[in-house]
Formats: sequence, structure tokens, C-alpha cells
Amino acid sequence: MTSHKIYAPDGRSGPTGTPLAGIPAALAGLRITALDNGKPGADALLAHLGAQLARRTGAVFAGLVRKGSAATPCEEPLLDALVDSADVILTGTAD
Amino acid sequence: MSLRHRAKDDAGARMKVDECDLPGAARTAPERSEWPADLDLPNLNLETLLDLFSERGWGDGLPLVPPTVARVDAMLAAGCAEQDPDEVVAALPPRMGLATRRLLAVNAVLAGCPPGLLPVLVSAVRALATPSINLRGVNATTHPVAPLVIVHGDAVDAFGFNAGLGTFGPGSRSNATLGRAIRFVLIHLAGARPGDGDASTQGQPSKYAYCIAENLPASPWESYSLSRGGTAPSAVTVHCGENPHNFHDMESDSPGPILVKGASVMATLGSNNAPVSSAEFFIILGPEHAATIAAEGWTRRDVQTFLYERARLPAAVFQRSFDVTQYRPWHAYLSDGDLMPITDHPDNMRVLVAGGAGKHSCVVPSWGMTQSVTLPIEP
Repeated sequence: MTSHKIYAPDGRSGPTGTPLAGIPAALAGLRITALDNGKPGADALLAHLGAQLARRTGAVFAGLVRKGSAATPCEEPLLDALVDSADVILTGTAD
Repeated sequence: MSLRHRAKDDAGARMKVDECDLPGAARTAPERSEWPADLDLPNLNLETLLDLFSERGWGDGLPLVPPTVARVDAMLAAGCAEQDPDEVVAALPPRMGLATRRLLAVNAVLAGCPPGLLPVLVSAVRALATPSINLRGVNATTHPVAPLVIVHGDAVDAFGFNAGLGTFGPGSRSNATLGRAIRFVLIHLAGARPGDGDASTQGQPSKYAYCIAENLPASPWESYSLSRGGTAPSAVTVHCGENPHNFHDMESDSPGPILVKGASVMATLGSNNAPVSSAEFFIILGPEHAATIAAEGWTRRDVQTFLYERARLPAAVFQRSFDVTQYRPWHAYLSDGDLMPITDHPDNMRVLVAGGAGKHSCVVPSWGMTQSVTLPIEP
């Protein structure tokens, strides 16, 4: 049987983002901050997660900061401030 | 059935990303031996192709035209013969798929596009990749948003787009297949597959195909693209929004009552325009409504201003309805009883004419955190 050649439709992808930071071996003594994307309920969920994580590991939960919109990337000044002030950032909630 | 996926070693089919300055595109050339990948089909039976695409999560579930090398070459020759087929024209998130003319031609063939249509697709993809579109958000959101492609100018007749009766509906190969090709580009290159890159809760029918053309011969105003500062003879607009919402008025012989009905379609709490004040509306006037409006001397700007003034709800209604909003600072100074506009500037009311006989027009609300883009059609 003769096969027929067609093109695949997807092609190559470029870089999809910044590499993730390394995971700390232990959280004890580290500062945890939550990045709230503004979705309803995100603040409550992240605050609970941060408090529980701190209680279980000996980390310090420093609270939440909110970015401008769930639909756009975090603002650079806020990111810079997070990098300077937090060792661990909780984020990634939706709806 | 034996379906084999293997790399292509055709040196002519290389990525050209070394000098690419597109956001997110690679600065150094990746491995060059695997693009575009070939698929070997045991036969060109359409069911075989459909099975293959279904297995891989490709396509839209409908029958496809096999993108053979001959068809793709013909697509390129008819539309982009003078351009580099392997130049990256856009990097499309979230997958950051690198869109070359050859790859766009592959998707155009799959969608059934006539060969000459490729420059329109290339231009629409460039528009999609413009930062103000916020394509990452458009693709990743739970909202049903789909990009509406609007074709303007000489390209409408040159490529056989239907700007008249039923412009949003079936029957025109160019409207249907260009809209479908855009969806294929989003699925295949951008990675916007339902459940994986496209989180839309329910989707919407316009995610299959969403392409219309401006009916300039029936419009009392200059071309929409000219009104946005464009000078090219042909242009394409991309607006990321909901399905069209119809408004119907067959009684009125003056602008006000017609546009009051349009404004009532806009002044609702369920669309993302309500919590995002910068969001645009596209108001697609049918030619008969447009003629009635223009007969009293109203300009496009008059229509925009009137809709801005009439598409309003009490500020307290907005405040009661949303915990999270994206409003302008001046919104905070509105009292509960003040009528708050559904969008924060008349320019966000984007007006053009499309369709045919009848007393219907429509509104296309926005996803919200996106701004439409109009670009010249260039290969």
C-alpha cells in the first residue's frame, strides 16, 4: 500500500515561560506570601493555605498581595517587590 | 491501520527564528530537523484523516481537507509566493507555537480555504499576536470568547467574502474557512484545545468559525479600517468577544428608537463589559438600520456617543453585582442613583455595517481584558 505524506498542523513551540525557581528543602523560617489574582474566593483560599502551611512547617505567612487582574500578567513592580520580600509565593487559583 | 509519525529532514523546511524579535520567540535556533513534521497516511480516505486528528487532539471534529505537500505548496504559491514560507510571523500563547506562513498554509488547507486566502489568514494571525489582544488570556479563560475576524476593503470582493445577507452564517466558503482556519491555528499552534489551553466553561458556536466582512457599499460611512487610521486598501480586524446578540427594530424611522434597543442589549450585567469598563462593543448595523440612522445626518461618532449615553445602569446595580471590577478612577465618585455607562468611553463603541436586507443589527460584547486590532492585509 502506498502511503501519503501530509503535514502535521502544530509545528514547533517557542519558550513558554520563565523557568521555575528551585524548591526549598524545608520551609521552616521562610516567608510565604500569597499572590491573589482577584478571582472571587481566591483571597480566602490562599490565606487559609498560607496559614496552614506556616503552622505545619514553621514558615512565616506574610499575607496576601493582589495583582491588577486575573486576566493579565502580574505587574513588574509587584513582582519585584515579591522577589525581594518573599521566599515562597502561593498563587494559581481560578473561579 | 498503521499511522506513523516521523520527523522531516527537509532542509528547506527550517525554522527561521534566529533573528526573530517576536515576544516569546526563541533567540537562538532550536533543532532544525523536525519541522514541519510529516505524517504518513496509508490512504487519503477522509475518515482515516479524521481518525488520526481525533487521536491527536487536533481539528474541530468536522471533516478535514488533507494537507498534502502539493496542496500546501499551492496555498503558498497563490498567496505568499514572494515571501519566505518559513519566516516566523507570530508566536502564539499559551503554547507559544511559532506561526510560519507554511504552517498557516497547512491549517488553511485543513480548513478548506481557497488558495488565495492565505494573506488574510497571515494578517489575522499577526493581529491575534498583538499584545493588546491578550491572546494568552483569550485562550486560557473560562469565558466562551472567540476571535471575530472582520475583513475590510478590496479583499472582500477579491477573495469572495460575504458581507451581505447572512454574513455571520453559512454559505460563503471564504467566511467559513477563514474563520475555521483561525480556530485551527488557535488549537494547533497556540495550544488552545478544550480542557488543555482553552478552559472555556461552555464554549460557544463561534469557536468553530467567526468571520464576517464589512459591507462598505451599503454603509453610509467610511470604511471602519479607515476610521481607525488605516490607509491600506484591505484590512482585517480582530475583536475577541461573545457570539453576536441580535437587536430587532422594524418600526422606527429615526435613529433614536433603533439605537435605544441596541443600547438595551449592551446594558446588561452578564457580559464581561459590565465589570471591565475599558472593554469594547462591536455594533454591527444592518444596512437598513444604518441607512435610517444616517438619513438624519448621524455620523459614526454620533452613533458611538448616543450608545455611550444610553447604555447605562444605576451605579448601585453595578456595585451590588460585582466583587471585582476594572473601572476607571472616576467611577468611584458616582452616586448610587447615577447612571453609569456600560463602557468608559464612546470610542469603545465600535460601529460598522454588515449584512443584507432586513431590520436586524447586532452587538458583539467583549471578553473584557482585550482590545481589538486592525491591520492591513499583507502576505
